[in-house]
Amino acid sequence: MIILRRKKPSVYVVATLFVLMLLGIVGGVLFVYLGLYNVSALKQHTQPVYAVVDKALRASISQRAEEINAPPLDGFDWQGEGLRLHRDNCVQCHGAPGVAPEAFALGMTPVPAANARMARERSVSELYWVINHGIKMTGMPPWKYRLSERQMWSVVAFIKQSAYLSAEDYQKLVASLDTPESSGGAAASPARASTGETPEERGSLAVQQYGCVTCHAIPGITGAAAHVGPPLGGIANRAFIAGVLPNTRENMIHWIRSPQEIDPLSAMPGLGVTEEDAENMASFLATLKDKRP
Amino acid sequence: MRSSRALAVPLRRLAKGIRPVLVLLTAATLAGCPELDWGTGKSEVQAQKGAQLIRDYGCGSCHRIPGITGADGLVGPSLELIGRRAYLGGVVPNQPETMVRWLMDPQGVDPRTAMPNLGLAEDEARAISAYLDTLK
Repeated sequence: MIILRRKKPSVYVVATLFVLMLLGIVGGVLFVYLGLYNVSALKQHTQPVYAVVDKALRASISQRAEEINAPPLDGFDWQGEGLRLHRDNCVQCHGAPGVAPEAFALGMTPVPAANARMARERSVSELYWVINHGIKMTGMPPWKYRLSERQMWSVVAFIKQSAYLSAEDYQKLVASLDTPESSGGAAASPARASTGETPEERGSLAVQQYGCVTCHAIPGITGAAAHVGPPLGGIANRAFIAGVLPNTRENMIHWIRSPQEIDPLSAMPGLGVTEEDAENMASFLATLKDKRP
Repeated sequence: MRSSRALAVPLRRLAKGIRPVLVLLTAATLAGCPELDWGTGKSEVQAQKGAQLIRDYGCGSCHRIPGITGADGLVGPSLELIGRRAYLGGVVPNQPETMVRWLMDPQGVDPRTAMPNLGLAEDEARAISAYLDTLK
């Protein structure tokens, strides 16, 4: 518009802008109709797309959660109703202290956020809003027509309390429920070996597909910025795994496959990782060299 | 020469005026500031004390710790953003109380951990915990 108001609008400038705009529209249409964007859930979005979508998601939730008047949570039965509802409806995707999500949930893109992370990083109102409304295109359903308000607040109360539970505490609480049921747990059937050219590439994909990103910050993996467990940058040079085991390739594979065999108290859950996938993951982790500042 | 002499008088006066303030500040620092409860200020003082203790105990020989010069150990995990970490030692939920317990008696929390017991006093563990809590 500014250009048009000038005394002598250059025909070339206007024409160039027009052509560029046209190209943009044609490009956009072709991008959509030729199916250029890869919707495969095997690979995460590219970093810029992920960053924009993630920002939009967080802003949308925090804006809307502001309108919620949260009641005091000590009025809700987190150890009974909250824990039971969480075990029956939430653990399958989000896990619990020491309990992994089910196999299907680990393969989702975006992968459901770890319970421990939400418990620490999300406000009470945000948790309630997301449970009530769900989130489009993420697999998170709205529970508005499935649970009462009181039940949803009980679940929020449990999630918040779970930040203070060790894996052992959680098992004790679940055992104390009057309707015991096998909860969450590792995949029963082995996952298919992941694809890729080199072991490192296959390992990088496996790290994404087993949901490692929900708990660990991992350089080079889009969306891996959680701090439930330790960050894995520089893991190649670290002396110990989990502060317990000398960091060798064999030990790393063993640890990835069955953390509780190495440290029964570990909050890291067994994820049903196959031998082959664990080997690839170890190869990938060996590329995460320490960068001296 | 004359100008420097003319300057000397007000400078001496200034030094005299500042002296009581300096004495007070030094006294407060030496006393460890337990009575200086200025809300957030107290935890800042605690955190600074903690940073010094982290240097004294050599935590940096095993851990990378932001804000501590030379703390670039690779034996245990990096402590970047440890204030946000959900579990300590991968075992116990991260809270101020559990952090103090973990620092004072790692084997009491996880018998298998390679983190050594450094014989920290409770107030030392609290100060270190205050510093680590700033890393988020």
